Amino acid sequence: MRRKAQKVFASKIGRALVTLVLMVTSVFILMRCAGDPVTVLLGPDATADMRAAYSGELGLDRPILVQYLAYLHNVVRGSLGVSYVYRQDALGVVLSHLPLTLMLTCSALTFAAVTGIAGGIAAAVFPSSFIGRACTIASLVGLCVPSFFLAIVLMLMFSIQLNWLPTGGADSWRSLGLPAVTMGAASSAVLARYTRVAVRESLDSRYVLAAFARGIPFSRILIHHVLPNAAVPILTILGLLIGGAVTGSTVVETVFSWPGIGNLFVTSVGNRDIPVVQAIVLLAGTAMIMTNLAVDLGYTWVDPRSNSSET
Amino acid sequence: MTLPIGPPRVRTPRASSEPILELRNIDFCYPAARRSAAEVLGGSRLNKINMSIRRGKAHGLIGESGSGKSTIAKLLLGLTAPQAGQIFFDGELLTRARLAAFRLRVQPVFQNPIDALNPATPIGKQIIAPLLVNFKMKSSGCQARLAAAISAVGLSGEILGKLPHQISGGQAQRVNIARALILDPEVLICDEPVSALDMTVQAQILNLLSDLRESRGLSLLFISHDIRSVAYLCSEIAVLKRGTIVESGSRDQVLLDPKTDYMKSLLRAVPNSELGVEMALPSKPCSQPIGRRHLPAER
Amino acid sequence: MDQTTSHALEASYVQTFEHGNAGRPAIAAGSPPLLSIDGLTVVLADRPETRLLDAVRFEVRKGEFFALVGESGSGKSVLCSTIMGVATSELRCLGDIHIEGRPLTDVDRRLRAMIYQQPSLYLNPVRSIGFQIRETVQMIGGLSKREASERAADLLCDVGIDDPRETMRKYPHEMSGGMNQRVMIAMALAMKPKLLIADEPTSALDVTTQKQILDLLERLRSDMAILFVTHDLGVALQRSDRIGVLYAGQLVEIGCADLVARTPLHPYTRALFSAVPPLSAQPRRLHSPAGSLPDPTQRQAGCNFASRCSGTMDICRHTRPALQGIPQQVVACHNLEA
Repeated sequence: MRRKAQKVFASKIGRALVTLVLMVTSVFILMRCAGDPVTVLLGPDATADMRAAYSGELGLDRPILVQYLAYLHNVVRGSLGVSYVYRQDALGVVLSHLPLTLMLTCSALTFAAVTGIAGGIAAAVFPSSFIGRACTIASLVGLCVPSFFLAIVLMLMFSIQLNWLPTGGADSWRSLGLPAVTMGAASSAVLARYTRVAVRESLDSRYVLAAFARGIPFSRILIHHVLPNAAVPILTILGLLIGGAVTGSTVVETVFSWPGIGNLFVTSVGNRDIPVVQAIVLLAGTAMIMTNLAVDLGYTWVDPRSNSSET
Repeated sequence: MTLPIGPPRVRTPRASSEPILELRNIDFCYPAARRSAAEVLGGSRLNKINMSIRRGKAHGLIGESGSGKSTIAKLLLGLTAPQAGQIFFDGELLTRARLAAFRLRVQPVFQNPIDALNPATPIGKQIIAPLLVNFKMKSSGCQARLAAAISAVGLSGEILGKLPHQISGGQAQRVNIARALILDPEVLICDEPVSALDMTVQAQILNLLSDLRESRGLSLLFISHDIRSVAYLCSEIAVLKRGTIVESGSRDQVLLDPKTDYMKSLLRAVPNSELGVEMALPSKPCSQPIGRRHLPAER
Repeated sequence: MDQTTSHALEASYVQTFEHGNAGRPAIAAGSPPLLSIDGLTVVLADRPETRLLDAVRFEVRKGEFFALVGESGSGKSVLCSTIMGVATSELRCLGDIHIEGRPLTDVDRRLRAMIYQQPSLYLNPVRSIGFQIRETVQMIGGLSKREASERAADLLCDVGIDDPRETMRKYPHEMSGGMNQRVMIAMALAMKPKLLIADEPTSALDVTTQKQILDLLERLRSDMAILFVTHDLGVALQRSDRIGVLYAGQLVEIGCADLVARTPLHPYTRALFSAVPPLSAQPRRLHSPAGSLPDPTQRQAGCNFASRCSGTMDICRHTRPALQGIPQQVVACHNLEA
């Protein structure tokens, strides 16, 4: 069985790599569709020398396959063009905005994971109690309310009326509060709903009944029998949420003037700063694929049955 | 292929010692990734299987889990192809071209009756589904055949509008048999059809299968791990162990004079083998108060 | 049941087991019953007129193998979960259940254990076998992890698993049905129960595996009482000391296995017998009573078998017959009353 598990492991990594290559190739094709790559990447006011040099690098007179290989080479090296606005390497620009975004999304995700999973478990274990019903209603609200609306309402309450937290910028720890809660709210609601269903299904299962009949205490049943079996769908959702962490939320960052990648994306599209846009797309795609791979590998740890099948 | 119009005819016995369905030298192996745990433990291949089902006869296949008996059912239904060997139907080799016509004349009945039915569709629609799909008939044109199929399995018309969760296991299995019969097949492949049913319901279904065999000249392959049911219904028995047929012959030969130790151990494992043999049953159950004399004497 | 009959039942134990069934261990005569059920009626909480069990009464003694035979809808699963104390909140239970003389609510959960029909479904799929047995063993308390592992390995040996350490590393989906059932039995034995309830433990298994599991249960029964629920009459008659036949929530016949095997009295019991295909070369038509088990919502007063019995009289439809008969075999049928 161990060898089987290793084979399954290796095949998942292989598939992730193939997906990565496919994503990068799609960007290549899209860039070619948008017009002359040199103009697109260097901007309309590039000098002829720069154009010639870059043409040489991209090898535009050479066959398309060679261009493709040169492009791949560039992607791996991180040389994705020069930003028009910042006059620096595009990837460098994007990466410089990354830490702030990660700070925001990690806080938001932590908030979402803690409140969502706890709320979902409460709603499943005590469905008719006050806590359970409150969690169910809160998750419904979190799903229905759009993030910009929630952002403005929170800003109104906490920044303007109560003056506890700043309205925008990224100056101090306190400015992290509102954006993180706003971003986390929707994710928390989604997690809560999936968690509730998964935990309910596990609680109704026969092995839980058998454990209960043996006299095993409920707390132990919850931790060792219910949650591990409910983990697979929860892990899937978490994976999708984490994958989106790199780009952050454009809406939240814009409303709160948080200078992260989401904000950069909006402004770059407005400025037609294509290299930066391309860099963000590639980065986002890579992050999503890698996190999904991690979730995929996580399944094998959580659910030993997945080692035996090739799904 | 056109269907005969009107109720199914009683087949004129054509040299009934001729086999209608034959497996010759079949070898089979599942690809590694699709094996179930039982198959991994018990072996996952069929080796040199030779089997034949004669017209109008019930042929039994006894095997434990992982022995490959469901695989044989799939081969005989044309659902999978062997790695080596041939399948003959009605004297002709079964090829890809003949597969579609073959599948209409050989029909299955599976183990879990309610699971074999679509939970969201009424029973009546499910029984005529094979006609609609295969012959593009309109559902109004199928009513006569539907009525015939329903009465052949002993059900009444009121079941037609019900959904599967509203009927019992025994009724569901009758519905499955009706659905199998509606195409007027020549062979029924039954893979553990009564294992999921209670004893009294099992008896009803076994009686039904026996009656259908006699009245319609159906050939049956009855696959089961329950030796009693096989012994009751079938005149020929084959015993499958880990992908190989270890014993085969007529019912009397296999039950009364088993040659292999495996069959002997299977017979020994049957609980209470004498049960049911000599039951001093009144031909009509008590129609009047019996009174004390029928209670066993005080010790 | 009236006074004379209950005395007679009491006496029957003395008579039956002093004669001793061939090869079966003698059961302490005159000792108080381990499991005593009296007037047990289980209804749906929101619709009390639907009775899933109707005034069930029987007893099981230590060391005894009691088989309860019933088909689906007879209420046997409800009976098992009620005795185990895990009946769902949709059911309401009336009547008395006593284990070792104490009412159910006072009884330590560890005194009774249960094994189920499809063992793979009743084992946690994402934890190893070793983890699950250790967990049950550690319920006794005071054992270190190593000691618990040792005890788990011992239990697996007791149930006939050759390589306990290897098995403890595996997961339920990696093992066959028979092995999983042995694991369940090992877990049930971990608490050293006095009563083992077996709810169709061998129905999903092959005949050779079934024999092995039944042999195992027979080996283990000397310390416990076994309540074996099944729909297979052959198994019930071969292995049990006494048999009870349950139809639509009513116990219609109770008696010594030998006696019931030779002379079944109740029409339903006879119907069960005639439905078993004989393992002989003489084909005889199987008989089965027409109709089917009445739905719990449609059961009326009187004998539940009245709608399908060929000997039905007027009294059968409105008065429920009481269990009557000689000490070793009682039956509830108006046709058989004096």
